[in-house]
Amino acid sequence: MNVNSSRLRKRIRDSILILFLVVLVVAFAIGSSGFLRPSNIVSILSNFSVLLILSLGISWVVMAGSLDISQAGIAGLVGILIGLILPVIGYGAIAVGILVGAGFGSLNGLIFTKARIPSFLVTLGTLFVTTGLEKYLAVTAHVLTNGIPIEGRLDVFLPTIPLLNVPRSFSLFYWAAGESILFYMISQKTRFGLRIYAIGSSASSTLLYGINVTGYQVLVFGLSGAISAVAGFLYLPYLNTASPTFTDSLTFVTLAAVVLGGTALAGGVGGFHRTVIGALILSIINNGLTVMGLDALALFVVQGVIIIIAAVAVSRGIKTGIIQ
Amino acid sequence: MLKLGGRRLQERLIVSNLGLLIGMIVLFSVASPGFLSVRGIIAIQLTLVPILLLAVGETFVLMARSFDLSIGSIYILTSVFTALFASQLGPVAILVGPATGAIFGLMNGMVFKFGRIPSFIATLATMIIYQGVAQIVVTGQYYLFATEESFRAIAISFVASVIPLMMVWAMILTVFFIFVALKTKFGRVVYSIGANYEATRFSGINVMKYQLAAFAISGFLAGVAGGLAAAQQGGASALPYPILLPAVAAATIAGTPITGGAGGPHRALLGALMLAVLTTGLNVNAVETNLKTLIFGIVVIIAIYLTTDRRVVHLIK
Repeated sequence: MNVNSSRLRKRIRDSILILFLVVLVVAFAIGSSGFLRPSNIVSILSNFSVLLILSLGISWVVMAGSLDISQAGIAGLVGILIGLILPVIGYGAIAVGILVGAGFGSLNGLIFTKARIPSFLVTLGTLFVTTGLEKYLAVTAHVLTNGIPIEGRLDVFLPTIPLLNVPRSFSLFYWAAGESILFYMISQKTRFGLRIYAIGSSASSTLLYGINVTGYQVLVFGLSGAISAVAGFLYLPYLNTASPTFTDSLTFVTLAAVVLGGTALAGGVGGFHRTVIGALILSIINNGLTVMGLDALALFVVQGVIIIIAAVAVSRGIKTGIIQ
Repeated sequence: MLKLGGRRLQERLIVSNLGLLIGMIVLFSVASPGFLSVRGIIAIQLTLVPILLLAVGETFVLMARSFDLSIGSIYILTSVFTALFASQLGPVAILVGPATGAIFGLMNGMVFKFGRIPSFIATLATMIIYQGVAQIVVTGQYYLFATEESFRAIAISFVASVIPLMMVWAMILTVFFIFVALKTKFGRVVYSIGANYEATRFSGINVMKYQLAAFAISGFLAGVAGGLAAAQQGGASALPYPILLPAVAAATIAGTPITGGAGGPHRALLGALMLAVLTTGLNVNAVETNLKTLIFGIVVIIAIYLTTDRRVVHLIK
């Protein structure tokens, strides 16, 4: 395949993604008058940010050719941990939480590279460990059902802009947007980004170039863990509660956003702009169906069907090789 | 079966796993005398059956290098359907589970193949759909009772007073599918698709047929498990039940890689046994539920460490 046709294919693929997004928005706008109301757009972007912050972290791992399904567990654990120790040690709790997340992430990377166990399985183990620990802490502290009230103590991290009449939860969007831009730049403009793509395409060839593949892999898992921790922390002011159940439903959805955007699970391709669109499609489907006043029971079924349609639409024009 | 790893290595891996299994049994029996009592042994089997059936099914999909996230939802949906028909059909209703399960599995395969989308996304979507359908079916009733004695007996009457009948069905199916995977042309082709998709396709094999069949088997066995669950519990509800991750763990901890082409249902049997013994052992010793999950995770990593055949899994991803 020559460079031009591959570039053209890439462009076609990106435009199909965006086209699908537009079709989705138009369809929902016709289906419900409330969909394009400013308050609803704010609500879509808030929910989108919850998903995107995590999905961007996992994108690094997927691009490097591995998988990480422990994100939701780590985010949940860190949230509860910070909620518990915040009243005791103040803002230091945030540093502790992020270190714990980065620690679990790096541990994933170390077990994966040193013990040579497939990353899906390592992180499945970590998911059990962190979820178990999260719930155990919640049960021991008697906060399993109601969570720990944060009482605005972390509001500084989700500042509201006075003139903009939007709820505080919207401020999560600034973080997600900043993270998207930062990661996109790193992936496109730095040696680190280039090497992650290289490792994802072929770890063994990259190794032959004398690049410390193991080091980069551990780093990527550490990064994913740290991002999960930051997400777990930001969900506290977002919900104004440390909830021991909030992240449970996110386990596979974060990965779905990455895959839906067109980043292959085989690694080496894709990128952060893809993840942004994947997460946006999922959030819009979710919101649009609810706003249309769809019966709560039918919601799941329609949601699943639209995810299939979205996946089929965005898979067109890609030469995927083996679709696993 | 592909013997890329060499017979001796394969044996060593199996032995290390059996060692872990026996180690756990010894540990739990010493820790609490109730573990190897009649009640304890029955408890192990009741935990084992659904995990085993789901894991064996998932194994076929993994062997072909795909992934099935929907088995947990199929388990719930088929148990709901079975309970729904139990009052009219009596004992015959037990067949509703496998029949509908196979159809749902086939639908997964069709969405994956005809939609040309990754199986991960396809089954994530159907997972949501099947769960939704289950909720629609039970609407307004919360719980569907199926308490007819003759129906329930299929799962919970006892052989030799320690083996529940559902265990017998599960073992017959497991042995059958181990045979299918290791001794038939069908099994060899499924391994071959996972090991090298392109080569298999170019050798003139209709790969689609085999991939659809792998998904149908996965759905079928999840349906068997769902039907048996309805009979065991005397009914079904549409509440999400956390069985997907334990089943995936059971399928993979004893050496079936998610990159396909190796392992097999015999490994799933070993994996499911380990997890059932672990879960029951922790229950008998009254370990707090969430600490159980934590210990579960650590054992999963240890077991995988012991059993990953690093020569067969040439791609450690």
